[in-house]
Amino acid sequence: MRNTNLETYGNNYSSNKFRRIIIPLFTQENPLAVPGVKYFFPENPTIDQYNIVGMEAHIVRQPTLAEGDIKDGIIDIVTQASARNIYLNLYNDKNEETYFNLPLRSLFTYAPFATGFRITKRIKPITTRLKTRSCFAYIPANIVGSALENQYISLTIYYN
Amino acid sequence: MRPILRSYLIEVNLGSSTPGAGQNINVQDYPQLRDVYITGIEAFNSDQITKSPAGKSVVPSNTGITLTLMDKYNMEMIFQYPTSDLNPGIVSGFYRDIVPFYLQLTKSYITILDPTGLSANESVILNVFYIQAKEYEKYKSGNLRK
Repeated sequence: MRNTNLETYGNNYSSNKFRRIIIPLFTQENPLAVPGVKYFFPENPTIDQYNIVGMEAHIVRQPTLAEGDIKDGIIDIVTQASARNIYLNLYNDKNEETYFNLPLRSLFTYAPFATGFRITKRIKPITTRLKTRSCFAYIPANIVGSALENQYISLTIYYN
Repeated sequence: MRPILRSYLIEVNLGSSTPGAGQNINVQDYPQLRDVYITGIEAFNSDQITKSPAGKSVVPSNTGITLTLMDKYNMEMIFQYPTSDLNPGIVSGFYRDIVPFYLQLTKSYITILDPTGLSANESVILNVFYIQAKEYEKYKSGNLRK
């Protein structure tokens, strides 16, 4: 199957494969997401061996806000409000920090609409070869009152 | 949208007092962005980011702020471009591609056209997409318009 979504959504590349991954924002010792702590991506050899051509985030809808594109009854995925405090640092296969402080929210876009909000998803053309075990997410150290407990980040990665 | 090969988040702080209309604020030096070709840029407001990585509050709106980007010859390659048009949340998720030029970030600046709604110590957040100069020849064909 050849996914043409990337081109449809404004990107120059199409991808043959795509895979959703989840990144836990907690540890076995502490279920809370602690500001300033790096939460590393689980190592993913499948993704590591391919060229990535796009990436998008998935966000849970909040009752008072209309945006959101995923619902998961098994794990808790971050909401739009939580995503505003989360940054990603992505490393390539040479262990270079190629995407520095990428806001998670920038991987999930929606546009204001007359009757509320409308999701206008764009798949960000992140083009690299990732080293997943070096990549991490974090909440800035100065954010107080972070109440994220047993939450996950959800990303879909498009690759060839 | 062209491929994003590298990105770096920068912030421009408005300073300890509320800026006045017409005030320019220079971008500080980021060593990682000293020897690069810029390929694209996006901006954010507090709808997308609550706090900058440095702990500053983010501006609530981009509408009164413009961006000027200089190249290494001190040419204003992008002059007073409205930062709200750089916000993917406002322009249907797109970011602005730029025909790559050698960026001189320390001479680039934002201009406050209307300080209404802005407060002291808030930051304008910009995400710069770039290619390192040493890699430019390798990647430029993918970033030039045909």
